[in-house]
Amino acid sequence: MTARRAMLAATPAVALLLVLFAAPVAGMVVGSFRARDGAFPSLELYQLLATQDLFVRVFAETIALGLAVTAICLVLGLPLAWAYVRGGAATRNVLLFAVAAPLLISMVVRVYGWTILLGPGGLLDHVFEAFGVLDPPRLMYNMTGVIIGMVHVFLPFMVLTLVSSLVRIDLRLYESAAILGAGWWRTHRTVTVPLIRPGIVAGSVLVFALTQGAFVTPLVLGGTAVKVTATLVYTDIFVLFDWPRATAMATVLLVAVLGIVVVQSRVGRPAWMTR
Amino acid sequence: MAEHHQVGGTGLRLEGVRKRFGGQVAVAGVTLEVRPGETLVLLGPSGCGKTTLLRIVAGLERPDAGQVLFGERDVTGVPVRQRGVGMVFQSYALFPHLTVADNVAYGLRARGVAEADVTRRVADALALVDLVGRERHYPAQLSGGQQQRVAIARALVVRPALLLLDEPFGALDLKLRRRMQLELRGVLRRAGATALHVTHDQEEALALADRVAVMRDGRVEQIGAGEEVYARPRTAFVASFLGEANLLPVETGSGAVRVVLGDARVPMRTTGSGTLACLRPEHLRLSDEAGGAQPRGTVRSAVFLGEATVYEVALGGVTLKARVPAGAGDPLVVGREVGILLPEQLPLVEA
Repeated sequence: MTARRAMLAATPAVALLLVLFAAPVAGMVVGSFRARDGAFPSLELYQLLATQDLFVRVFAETIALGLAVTAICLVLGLPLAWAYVRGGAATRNVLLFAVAAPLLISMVVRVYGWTILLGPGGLLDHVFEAFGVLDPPRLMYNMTGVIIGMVHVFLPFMVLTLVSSLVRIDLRLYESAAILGAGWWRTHRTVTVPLIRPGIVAGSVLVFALTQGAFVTPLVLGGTAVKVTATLVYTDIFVLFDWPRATAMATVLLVAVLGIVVVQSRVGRPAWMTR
Repeated sequence: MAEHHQVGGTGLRLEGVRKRFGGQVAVAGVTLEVRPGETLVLLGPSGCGKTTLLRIVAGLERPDAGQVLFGERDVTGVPVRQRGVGMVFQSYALFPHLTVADNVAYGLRARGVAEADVTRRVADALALVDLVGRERHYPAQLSGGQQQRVAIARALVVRPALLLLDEPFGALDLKLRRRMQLELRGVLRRAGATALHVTHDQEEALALADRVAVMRDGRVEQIGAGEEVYARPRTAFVASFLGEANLLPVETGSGAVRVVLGDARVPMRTTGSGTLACLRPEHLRLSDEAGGAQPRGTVRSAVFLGEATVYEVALGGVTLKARVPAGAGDPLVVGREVGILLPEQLPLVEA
């Protein structure tokens, strides 16, 4: 009875998702198997992508970019999440604001903010100049800029996911580990990390999936020098009007992200959790 | 097998230990000694400072003043992980992601014990607590009593100089708790460990302790063998916290002590000093016969407990509890007038 009522209540949302999300995605996937001369089903578009170096290289670079951003978010996110969970009320408020504030600002505004800091003649250039660095590293219109921007944009998702697993660890476990003679490193390696493994996996999958679809950050901070799958799709749709090729590329992205989610469902729930 | 667990524990000494949290005094100057191989139980109501004291011994809290000594070694400033104590928490604090065997092995591996020895000692420890065959289970797959035994094995396997137990049976139901107490007593004897055990359960304290320290408001109110503290409590608090007690006012004068029982004054031999006499319910005898010189009261209630019946008897504004073992005469009816027979001697306690 209650289950049926709950389903009834969810109907509008489900209908909305079906009409506005599932149907277009299905249409896109189906369309990607249609050849340019209308033949269906056909792998023509995929053959096209697979045989052109540009696409293969961009796919690989996009995945590498995603892995790098995910790894950096994890390394930065763990101490942040730890400080949040173990900190006092004041620490928590400051950290929560610092981590969540970017989520409340438009992505475009944030990314343009970075151009003021990183761009040619930007704040960091002046800092380098003040320290007498004649040939400052270029931090924008290349991969470095895109990585910096993406880490900023996606770090909150990692931190919040890690926090939700860290808060569930019983503090007595740390006292137990200390009494049993474990030091800082052993305690975190044998207690913290295994216990938040589901959070690490979930946060990483989330950040990785977001990096694969992101195109504002690569577009603004990468400029013309950086191409990722999403910006290629964007160019095909809005500049070259090559919609068929765009559907095939988007489908490749979709499959890659779905694959990661499947991996998560395999490793994200360790044996000790299922009784 | 037992020799692997022979720890021949060190003694523990606390000298003037104090601790406050904010404005709240948790431990107000405790000096006590636990002898090597002895089990000392800290008994008291919640908030009396017993758990704080235990955590100070473990190194989980720093005392504001005073010293903690293991044998002759001052460990007051020594960090937790270098103290080499074993501890069993009320919540067990088992690592949920590790199997029973890996939980027990944790302390051995942290100490860098060779893996072959780890395997052997874990097997011995699990045999000691009767958990052979559960090595590969995760804590969530075990019952409360089994988890408890894993926690004990994990604490004992490292051969700690001192075993600390913080309400280790608090999460178990009564029947299991009594059985585990017996098992723990056996395990501690076999291991020869020195143990400091915290509880608010007086039966547990008497069942496990070589000596009991009754705590109140951050101080040790009385310390001694269970029998001794029970038979000769020094204060009214100790008398009613360790067991049940009827506390009766006494009058002293012309070298004699008289217990006030309503209108009656009963001359009494006493031990100790104080203004109240401690009368245990099981030492009070009720006489059904009419007449006699003894004071008389009226049965107000009778509660049958199986092995005994507890009566409440009213006389002259006071109500006395009497515990009469089953088989000691016919049951008394509520409303009936009975004679009250006091024992020959009563301990006096401070109010």
